[in-house]
Amino acid sequence: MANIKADEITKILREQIENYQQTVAVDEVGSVISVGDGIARVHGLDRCMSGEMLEFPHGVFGIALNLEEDQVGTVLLGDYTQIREGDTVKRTNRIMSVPVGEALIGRVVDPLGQPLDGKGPIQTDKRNPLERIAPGVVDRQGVREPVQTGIKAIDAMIPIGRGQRELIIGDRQTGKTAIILDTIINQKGGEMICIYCAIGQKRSTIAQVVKTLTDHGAMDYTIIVAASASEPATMQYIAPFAAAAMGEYFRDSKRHAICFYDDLSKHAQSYREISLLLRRPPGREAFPGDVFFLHSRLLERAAKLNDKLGAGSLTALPVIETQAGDVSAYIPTNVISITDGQIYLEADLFNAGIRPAINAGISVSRVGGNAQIKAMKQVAGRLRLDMAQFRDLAAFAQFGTDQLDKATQAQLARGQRLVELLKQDQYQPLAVEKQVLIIWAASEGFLDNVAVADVTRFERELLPFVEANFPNVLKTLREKKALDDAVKAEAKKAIEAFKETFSASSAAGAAAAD
Amino acid sequence: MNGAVSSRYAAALVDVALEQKNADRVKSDLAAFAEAFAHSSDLRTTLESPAVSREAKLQVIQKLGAVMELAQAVRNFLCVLVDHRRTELLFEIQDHFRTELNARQNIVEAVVTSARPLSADERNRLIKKLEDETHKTIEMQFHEDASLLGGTVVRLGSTVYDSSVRAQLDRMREQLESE
Repeated sequence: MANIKADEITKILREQIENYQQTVAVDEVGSVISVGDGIARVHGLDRCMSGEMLEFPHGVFGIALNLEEDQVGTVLLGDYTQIREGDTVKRTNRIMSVPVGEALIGRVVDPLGQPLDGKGPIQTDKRNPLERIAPGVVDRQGVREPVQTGIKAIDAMIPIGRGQRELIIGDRQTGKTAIILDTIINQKGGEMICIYCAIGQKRSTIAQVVKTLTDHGAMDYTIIVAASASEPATMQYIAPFAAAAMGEYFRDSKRHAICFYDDLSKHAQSYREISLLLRRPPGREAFPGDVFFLHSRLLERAAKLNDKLGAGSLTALPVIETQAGDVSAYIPTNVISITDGQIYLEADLFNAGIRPAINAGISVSRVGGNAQIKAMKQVAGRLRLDMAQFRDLAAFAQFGTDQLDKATQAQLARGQRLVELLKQDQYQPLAVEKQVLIIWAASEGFLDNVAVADVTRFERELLPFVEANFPNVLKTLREKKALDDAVKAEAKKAIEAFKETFSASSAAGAAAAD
Repeated sequence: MNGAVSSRYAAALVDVALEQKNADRVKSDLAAFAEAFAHSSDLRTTLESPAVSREAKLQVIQKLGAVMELAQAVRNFLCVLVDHRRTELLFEIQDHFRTELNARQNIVEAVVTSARPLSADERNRLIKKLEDETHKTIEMQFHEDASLLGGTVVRLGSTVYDSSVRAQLDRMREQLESE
């Protein structure tokens, strides 16, 4: 073994010596003026490009962010403790890029595309630049296919289309990541590629996400890009751009991908850290002036391409964590205005047991309605109206319902059952035809004489019953994607048959007796 | 910040020097004065102290100028610096003056480091080659560094042409390490 190695070395040395005259390395170099806090200032590098990768000693790379009259401000990726003043910095003539392609699917990588999951190197020769101009106006078309999240409240009232950007916003511990995980799990068997980008989260949280997705078999179509809280701000800053670059590969190869940026508040903070260290002037809340552009150029890359370009799509679901429900802070207002709608999650609802804790009143989707399947459109309009009326009346109902007229009481009862119906356990995404069936049942009044406490159980037992005894209903719904009279009649028969077998629970019976 | 100020003064002096067509004289005179300024703490104190009146400072410059036979442009320039109280920027201005003058006269400074002293013939061939390459006049400084082992390293501004044996050995090591 040692013998062979020595031979190899001799051979390489000989080749090198033979070719000795031919190699003159031409480098453009500068020297480090100062280094600290992950930032290096470099003198020289006259023709350095903005965003270019620079090579420092000890294999450390940096990105040129500030081009000034006589120096270049760079952020360092990796261990910068060994870099000294006066060290030589080389240009690479390359803009920062990450590996992309099918090989990444099922992997956990850092923002540079290096594997973190110990499953060996990533075999791909394709790379995409970190920053890319978003598709132009003529390259796009309106959203037309749905992203099924499997969550009743979202798919019915706040539908998301492929190519849309829908913000998930809420305080800590309100179930933001839970919605993402459910959405990823629900893509099983579909054609969507999911890219989950964790920014500034605890390593333990990321490990938990990976485990959950693996347990549900969702890693087969998922990429995780992780920049944990312990990594330098630079890594957290480039993480969502790396995720977008990976997503763009699928978008541009006529497929469908969805990027989850969890979360952009931390991303803005890491960018603030970098900007302040580079001595860019601070603005509101000490964020730099271009923090809006930072997020808009990221989210603009989500698009539905036109048919000529293959009709691929990249959907973006950014997350924003608010502090004590304050959505008028700088970053939340910015991202709200960039996205095509938002899903509000509220701590009060969460604590009241309404999970997912979606506030249907102020959550909107500006374009997703175009992408809903017809059947869902038919039932969702009614649902939204019922819910709105219920919210108006619910304020009164707090003082007792006895004196209200019958119609109002009926509306209240319907509303209570709908709220109950929209509750959904975690990791239990529901196929769209089942959602349609149960929401239709509720809005047709089949649930009005079921006790509120029984609604969840009613749903849980109804769906297997219909599946077993009336498989045609769900099958036609799935295939036709519309709710015509024939299906309605069949569904009615199925639900009535089920109600005969359904017995009210003792708790509900006691409640009814009161 | 200071870089911006001194480069403005330097550019102005270059303008004057080129107009009067005695750039080389201005350059050497400025260097001579800067050297005197660096070596004599008395001179520095006199010119920088707020206690000394402006007239006294100007007289010092005129007398020194006469003794050192400085070009009129340099004398005037020093007076301007005193007037504007920018004498502490003199060294920076001198640096900027050299770069600015080189840029205007299409001259590039090259630093050549070699393992052993180059012969006159080798030097001329190197200059010729670089001038052909850059289409600029080359001013060379030569250094020796035995640790290069062989070959030369030419540095033109921020571009480095490295054909030294040491760099090749380094590259070879990288190649071996990566395989």
